[in-house]
Parts: sequence; C-alpha cells; structure tokens
Amino acid sequence: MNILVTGSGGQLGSEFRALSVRYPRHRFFFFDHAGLDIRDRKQVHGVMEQCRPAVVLNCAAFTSVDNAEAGPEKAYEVNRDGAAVLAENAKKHGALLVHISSYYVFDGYAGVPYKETDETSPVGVYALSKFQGEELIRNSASSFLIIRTGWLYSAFGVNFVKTMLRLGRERESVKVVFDRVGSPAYAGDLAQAVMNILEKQEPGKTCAATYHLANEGVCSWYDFAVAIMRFAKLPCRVLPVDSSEFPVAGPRPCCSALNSRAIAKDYGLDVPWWQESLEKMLESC
Amino acid sequence: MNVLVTGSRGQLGSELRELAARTGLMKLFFYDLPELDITDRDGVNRVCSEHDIAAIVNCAAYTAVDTAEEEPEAAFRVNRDGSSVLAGAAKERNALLVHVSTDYVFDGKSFLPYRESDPVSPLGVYGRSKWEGEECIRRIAPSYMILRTSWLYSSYGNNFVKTMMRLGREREQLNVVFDQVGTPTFAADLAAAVISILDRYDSGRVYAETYHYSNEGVCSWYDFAKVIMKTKGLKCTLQPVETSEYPTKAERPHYSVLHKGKIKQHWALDIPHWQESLERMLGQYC
Repeated sequence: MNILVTGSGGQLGSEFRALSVRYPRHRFFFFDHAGLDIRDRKQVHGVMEQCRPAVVLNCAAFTSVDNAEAGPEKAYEVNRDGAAVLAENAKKHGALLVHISSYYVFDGYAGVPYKETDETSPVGVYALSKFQGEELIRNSASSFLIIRTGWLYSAFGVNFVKTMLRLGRERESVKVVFDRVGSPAYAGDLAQAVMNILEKQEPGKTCAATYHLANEGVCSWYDFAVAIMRFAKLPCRVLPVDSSEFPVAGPRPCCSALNSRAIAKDYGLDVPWWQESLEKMLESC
Repeated sequence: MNVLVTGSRGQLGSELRELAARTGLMKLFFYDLPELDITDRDGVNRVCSEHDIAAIVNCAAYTAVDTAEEEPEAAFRVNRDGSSVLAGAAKERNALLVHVSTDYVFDGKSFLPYRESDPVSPLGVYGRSKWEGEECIRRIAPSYMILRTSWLYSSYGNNFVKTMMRLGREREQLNVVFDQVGTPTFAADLAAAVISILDRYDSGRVYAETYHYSNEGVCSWYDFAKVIMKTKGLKCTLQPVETSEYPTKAERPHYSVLHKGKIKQHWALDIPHWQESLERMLGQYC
C-alpha cells in the first residue's frame, strides 16, 4: 500500500521515515514542507495523483504556540486550511487520513487525564487552529483517524528533551515549571502505534475516529527534566518553579494529561510508560 | 528542649524516633496507644508536665479513609477531638504544637498546585475530621504549625509502597489508577523537616502557620507503582486503570499536588524529588 507522509522533516515524520525500512511491503512517499506545502491545493492535488496513497499521514503542522499568537494567519493556514485540503484530497482518492492533533484542544482545567469524550475548549491561536483543523477533517474526510498526542519529543528535531540535554551540559542548574502536568509522548512510539493500527485496519473499511495517544503516566515538566538528567547522567540540578516565573505569549494548559486507554483497547496497543520510552530514546542518541 | 511526639508508632513517629537518635539538641519523648490516648485530656496533661514539654509533634491520626465513612465518630474523635486536647495542653504550657494534616482537606478539583491560602472543601469524613482538627488548633493553640502532607510512605507501618512490593512479588499483573495525580512524601524527609524546624524555631515567637509539605514533583499512582516495581526489579506488569473502575467508599481527590513555596521560603528547606526519596527508601527496605 502507498503511504504519503506530509511534514516528513519534523519529529514524527522523521520517525516514520526511520520506521519505513521495516515495512518493505508498503511504499512510502515522504514530503517535507519544502517539497509539499499542504496549504497549496494544486500542489497537494498533484502529489496525490502522483503517489495514489491509500493512507495519508499528516505530520505537517505549525507548532510554535508563541509565534502563533504573534502571527495567527500562518497557524490557521497550516493547521486548519492545510488539514482541510488534505481531507478533501484524501476523500477524492478514497484514502484514509491519519491526522496528528494536540492536547491543546483542551483548556487544561480538568485536573484529570482527558478522554476523547471530554468537551474541547481550545484557548489561544495554536489551540484554535488545531481544533478547527480537526473539525474540518471530521466534516469533510470520508475516512479519518485523528490522534491527539501529548508532549511530543524525539531524537529528531527540536524539542524539550533535546533542549534539556543541551542545558544539562552547559549549566549547573536549570529552572523548570512544576505546575503544569501532562503526558510525554515519544514520537517513535507514536509512529509505531500508527503503523500497528494501519496493519489492523481492514482494507476498504472506512474509519471515523478521534483518539488520544501519549505515553502512559503523568508528570510535570519538572519531573520530565529530572528524568532526562538522570537517564543522561548529567549532574545539572533541576529546580522546580512556578510557570508565572516564565511568562509566555501563547497560553498553555495547566493539566494536559491524556487518557490513552480507548485507542489501546480498540487496537490492542501496548502503550509504554513515559520513563521507559524516554530511557530508550536517550540510549539511542 | 523537650518534645512530645504522639502517635509515635506510626510512619512519621517512627521516622522521628530514628532521626532523634542522631540529634542532640532536643530530647524527644515518644508516646502512642495504649500508653497515651490523645483524646485523654488528663493523660496528655500528665505526660506534658512529667517531661516539661516545650513542643508537641502530633503524628497521631485516624487515617483509614474508607472506614471513616462507616465510623465517623472514631475519625472525629481522634482527628478533631484529639487535636483539640493537644492544642489545650499546648496552651496550658505555652508550648508549640506541630500538627500533621493532609491534602484531603481539598476536593482535588483544582488544576494547579494547592497553596495554603486556597479554600478547603473536604470530600469525605476523613478530610472533614482532619479539617476540623486543624480549625480546633487554630482556635486554641497559642503557637502552632500545621503541616499538610500527601501520599505518605515509609519503611514503617502500612502504606502504598509496602503494599505494592508485596503484591509485586505475589502477582503477575496489577491494576493501578493513573487518573489521580499528586506527590508522594517519604516520611523520613518530612521527619527531617520537622526536626530542622524544631531546631531553629524561636520559642519566644508566636507561630500561626499552615504549611504544605510533600516531596518535589508530580506523578500518578500508576507512575508511583512503576518506579517501585522497576527499582525493586519486580516483574509484575502494571495496568493503568481509571478510578471509576475501582469504586471506594470514600471519594479520593483527583489532583492533590501541594505547593511548597511557603515552607521552603520560611525555613530554607531543600526538598528532594519524590523518585530520589523513593529509591532511598527502597534501598533501605527489603
């Protein structure tokens, strides 16, 4: 089966590329944003004609929460309009659209890990753009799987783990917020889970589902940083601070842990604990 | 200085006893049932006079959260009336009362670490009895520090860590809730904080303080259990489950992270990360 991966230069796209060698029976087509701008209807149409994918994995997104506040247009163009372009084209080709969304569709005032049935309440430009992208997909794709994930990291790209590794080497101590909790999500696990789901997907059968998938467990950014320093054996001290010490432009949810039980049950997935995955990722880099 | 420790055979009392052997500055007197019942006014006053007590650390409590729903009188007797008796004894001698309370005074519906100034709203009998005990102390004791803590464990007594170690050896698989988050507290760390405060407090000053103390960090019970199994090399598989799958008599707070800024600032305390302390406890305890 032909699989089109958009945003292939990002963390998750890179993980799909790394995984693709283990799936020789599938034909993968990778496009980063230079190769394919998902906002460009004509370009997307051309690529779809050329690749004839059975599955479109949309890893393309505008993910800078703070920049989205400063310049909302691009966030909406990529996260909302781009998602819609892919949805229309997937429908035309009878392809399944797997779309990655975010815990930001929730405001984080629940204090309990979010389920798919919880009401959404996006706050800020990034959150709204992701939510509206989801809505357009739900309305226009004929077969889709929306996966909302947590604190994404990977050996590829720029992310919290890699930033902490750098600071851990440069500094004696680092301040990290402890009043925001959530679920780390190793992009390598997410990519593997998507591949496992595709393997279980009956050919020709359509799908219309929204799921949550992060690693198992809950922590604060501070705990996440403590674990990174421990596994990487860096002597840097991590100091817990309030988020009010780090004012940011884009609003962040306080409690954004995700309940991944539904997708685990429906697809028989084994969701690894966040510390196990972090350890695995750090060993690999 | 002479210090009375009530509930001395519990987790915190036992940790204080262990620490006391290493501290020379004060003399600690340890009492528990049946020698001393904190609801027995005469008994408490007698013990205080006998040892010329200058500070009381109350580690005695009724802590069976579910059973408390069936026998509220027993919970209120110890947690409210006992606190009141100790506050009265402290008043009589102008002693400092250090009292241990709980995250259960909150309903856990927040999404930000609880500060001492946040409004309380206990969910059940246990939380209410502890809250009323706090209020008795605020009303009666001339000088007090109320320390609210969460998810207490130790190598002494019965607690989550010891239960997990036992079940981890007995079973191949265990279900643990992942939708209640908070912070574990190693009783030895709390005991060290209490000793450190007693070492430095000014007996000429009046204290009327409520403090929050737990280890640093945040986790769910599932994460807590994972670290226990991993550190102990136990092969038991943990299945994350929702609270709704495990109905209990008493409702548990979903979010009980405590904000420790105040106690850290007032007493220049360095609080260890929960996982670091847990590993220390597991290293000592087989």
